[in-house]
Amino acid sequence: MGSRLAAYGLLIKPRIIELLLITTVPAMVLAAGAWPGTGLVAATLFGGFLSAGGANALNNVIDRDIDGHMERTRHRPLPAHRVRPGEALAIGLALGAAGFLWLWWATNLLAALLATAALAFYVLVYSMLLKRTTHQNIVIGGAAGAVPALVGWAAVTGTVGLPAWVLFAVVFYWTPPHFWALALHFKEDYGRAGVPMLPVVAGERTTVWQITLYSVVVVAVSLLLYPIASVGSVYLVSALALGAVLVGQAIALHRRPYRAMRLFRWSNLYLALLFASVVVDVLVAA
Amino acid sequence: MTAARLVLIGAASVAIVASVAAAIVNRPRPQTVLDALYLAVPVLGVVVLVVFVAAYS
Repeated sequence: MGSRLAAYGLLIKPRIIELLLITTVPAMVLAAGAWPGTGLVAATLFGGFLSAGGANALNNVIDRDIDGHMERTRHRPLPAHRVRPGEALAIGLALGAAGFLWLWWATNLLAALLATAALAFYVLVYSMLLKRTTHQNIVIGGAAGAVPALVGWAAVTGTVGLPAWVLFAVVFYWTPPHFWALALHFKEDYGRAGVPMLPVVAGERTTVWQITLYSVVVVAVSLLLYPIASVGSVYLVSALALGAVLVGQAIALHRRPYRAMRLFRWSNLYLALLFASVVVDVLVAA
Repeated sequence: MTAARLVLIGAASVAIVASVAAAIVNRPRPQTVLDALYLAVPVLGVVVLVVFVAAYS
């Protein structure tokens, strides 16, 4: 029973809570112009956790064949036969429905619709349509992971303001260099599974160039928050400094492509610190 | 010129140029209309965002 529950836990990839925390809470703080209330934050994060967990469970069902061919994913509950596909499907659908109802009840309909739209986009557009057919899979599919910023803003205001779209864009343009760094490291794995990730179909050199250019786009887009939101010099200096390191790491990859995981880990820290600087800036000014 | 205006113009220019460059140097070349559309999405996203930010800043 304990191992079955542990397998269910792995199915929903509990580490997603980290990305939710990183992107949802700062959007809520920026929308409120102050701390929006611990109750609302907790309720929104819980709803986001349910929706994202549902999306991940459904993705596990769709990808169970290729997951079995990849060293990185072959221990997941479905390829390891610890959970049956029917069970995972039921869990995914139940969590998705629960996420919608919870967010609608605890926040508002717009936040619930956005979270559920992200789930549908991730499963139907990314996992089923793009992932196995185009090397632009992660570029378009990254939109699903960027939606929590919109959910956070909507949970506070009942609308989606332009600053929320800038935060959405930051995560959207951050996703390709983040995952291409991972794909560089696991290139053989993806090739064996037949997933057309950029390093597999276009090679190392092109991928590193794409990572560099997208890193520049991320930094530039992050600066667009300054003219339109109530953020000040704390955010501006942080965005410039963190962005300089991100682009520097990407440029360094041209000479040392075997250090892709270093960029992958830094990109995680970059996003966390950038969004944390939004919170600090707003709370200091409040 | 205010700092906000300066940041807007600089960031918008860099974002557009870098996203267009990313689409141009991407390989393999687009084979179908759908492939070309996929390449265009990030560029269009930047352009639309910049237009709205410029309009509302």
